[in-house]
Amino acid sequence: MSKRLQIYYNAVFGAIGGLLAWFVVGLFPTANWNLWIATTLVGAGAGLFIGGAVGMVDGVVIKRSARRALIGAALGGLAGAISGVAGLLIGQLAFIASGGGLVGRTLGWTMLGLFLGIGEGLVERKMKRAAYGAVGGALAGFIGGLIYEVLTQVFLKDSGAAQIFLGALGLVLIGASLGGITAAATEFIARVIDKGVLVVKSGSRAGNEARIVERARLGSYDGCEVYLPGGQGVAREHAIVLKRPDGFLITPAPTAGGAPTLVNQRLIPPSGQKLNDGDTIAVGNINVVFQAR
Amino acid sequence: MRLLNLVVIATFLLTLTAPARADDTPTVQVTQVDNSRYPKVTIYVSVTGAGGQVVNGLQQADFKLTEDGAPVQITGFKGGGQVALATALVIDRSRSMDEEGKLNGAKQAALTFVDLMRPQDQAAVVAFARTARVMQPFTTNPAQLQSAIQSIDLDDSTAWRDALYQAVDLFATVTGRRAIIILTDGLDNASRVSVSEAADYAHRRDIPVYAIGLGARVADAASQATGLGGYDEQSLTQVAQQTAGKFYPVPTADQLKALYESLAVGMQHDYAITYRSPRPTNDGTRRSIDVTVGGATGGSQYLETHLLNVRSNALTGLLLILPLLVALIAPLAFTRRRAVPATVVRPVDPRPTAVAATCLKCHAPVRAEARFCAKCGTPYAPAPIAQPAPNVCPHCRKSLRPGAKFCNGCGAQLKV
Repeated sequence: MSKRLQIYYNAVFGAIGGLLAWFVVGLFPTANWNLWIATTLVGAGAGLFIGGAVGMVDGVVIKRSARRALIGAALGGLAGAISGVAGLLIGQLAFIASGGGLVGRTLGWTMLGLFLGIGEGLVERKMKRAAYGAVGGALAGFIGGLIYEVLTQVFLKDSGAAQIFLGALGLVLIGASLGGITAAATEFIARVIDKGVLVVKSGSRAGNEARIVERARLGSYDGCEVYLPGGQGVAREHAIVLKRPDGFLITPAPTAGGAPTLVNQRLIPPSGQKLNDGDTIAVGNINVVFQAR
Repeated sequence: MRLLNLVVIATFLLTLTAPARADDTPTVQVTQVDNSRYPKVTIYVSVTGAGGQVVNGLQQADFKLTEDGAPVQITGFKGGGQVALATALVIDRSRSMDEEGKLNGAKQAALTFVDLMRPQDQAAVVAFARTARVMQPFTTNPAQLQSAIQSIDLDDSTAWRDALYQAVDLFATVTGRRAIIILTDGLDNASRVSVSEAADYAHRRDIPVYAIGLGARVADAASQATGLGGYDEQSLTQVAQQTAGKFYPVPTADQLKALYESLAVGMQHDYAITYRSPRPTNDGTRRSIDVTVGGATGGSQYLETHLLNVRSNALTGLLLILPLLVALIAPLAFTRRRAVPATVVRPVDPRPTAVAATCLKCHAPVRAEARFCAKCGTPYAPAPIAQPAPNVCPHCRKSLRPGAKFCNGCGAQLKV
């Protein structure tokens, strides 16, 4: 699956998550509640559904593993709920403190997006992902807040009806942006800085591409970044590609149990080997090509 | 030239004898907006006449209210001294207050204020020097307030900004018409917060600050000469303006009593008007309020506080989910056309030289993927090789002896 398609699916899943969040949270009559209790619920709901939706993309679309999808959804949803509450509470405070208006609205929404993005990144326990998530999320929130405020002012006369629609639009936008922008940010920043992609050439997941962000594991375990099910002689965690300051290094995984990994038909030493553009990695009977792009 | 001079002088004289600006219209000021029970909004309005005296006895019908230009329906009205006040009396107790009877004057003024309290009013007393001390938290009991006022003693430094900031905190659970009356005679030389921070803090809680500067201003030649210092008029004015309050310069302490009296009476005759917002949605927008009484208009504004308002209904949900579901399925429709992905699926066989067949004509050994025999040139069609090749190790691809149980390249156990 191409990177562009992956980003697309991230955005669509995020948007659906946002819509679900709006629908479920919108069933509660939060308008009559204490502001801060309502804010906590809305933040938790938004984070839960958007985080869960974006978290399951990897499992559903790329790895095609139901188990991975469920784990991703659960972790993403949990991290999203926590970061959503924090983000929306802080955003609400910022909105009031800055006196509202366009500045207040965009500031408040940026806070929400920022925290949701960080939460999404932290789930993978990679600081880089969290940083990309922060950038993507903040941008997502900013766009969402800007559009929300502009449309609110435009539809001021029909405020009641408009608010229902705008709530949905806002959450859908922030979900789509979070999913899409964070995925795109990871891709484009890493493309400029790190330049390392693993492309699966054979087996049931042929065509999948995985950009190496700090580290990529290859194996038949569905938590591996390069997931290779159904091959022969593929250990659960077979090999690991690491990003080093001077390039990419491939080493046998410590839990591979001696299963050999070949690069360009030569066995790699236990201490690892540097990867060059075009190298073919053989993991069991599946070939994966390393591309420096 | 003479004529011009005459005209100028005549005009000047005319302006002197012209009547003072006709202030027959009252002035209307919205001192506070309470939107904590939105969409029910309560505003406190003070109406003063030409000479600055409070206008009593107005009825609900005398007031015209609009929010964002739209007329509103008044649902509650309190006038004629019914409004309950909550006032924090903040008093300077720095050493300079000991001179010229300033502290005594301040105490007398505060006691007068307490005397004028009605049963529904409450007040608090805060005295400050370097730090602010709450002499008496909010209470309706005049006796407690009186003893708190009497027990104010002197100390060093003046930190009125910090004192103001802390006084705001006293109003945490207080509702109703609020005010802070703060009195100082010197420059702030010890506060941690700035003028803007303190003013902002009070403004956000909707508490007007009536700032009183007692004695000499710091800019006055007199105070500079004696080195006694004075209060900073600019800071006090800034605080007053930012909180919709007022600044009062009072030269001598015996004038304080009258001022506190008029403040008490003025505030007690505020009108509290409650209405339901004509646009009662949680849209997080700023609303402007305009009040008109007898030709004079005052106004204020408030912010509807919701950053994000979420309310759903099934129809909108259905309408919005459809395009998203289409977006989800769309790529599948496109990729179906390409049966084979663009990337090559064929595995790379690392041992292309594995010997697997012989030429049908000359029986020379032929390489597996050869199309013609290398010896005699006869076209050769190889049998399809099952994947993986049976005599190649699946782990390291080394060719195996037939019947091998273990690979002699990597030692892997083979499935037989």
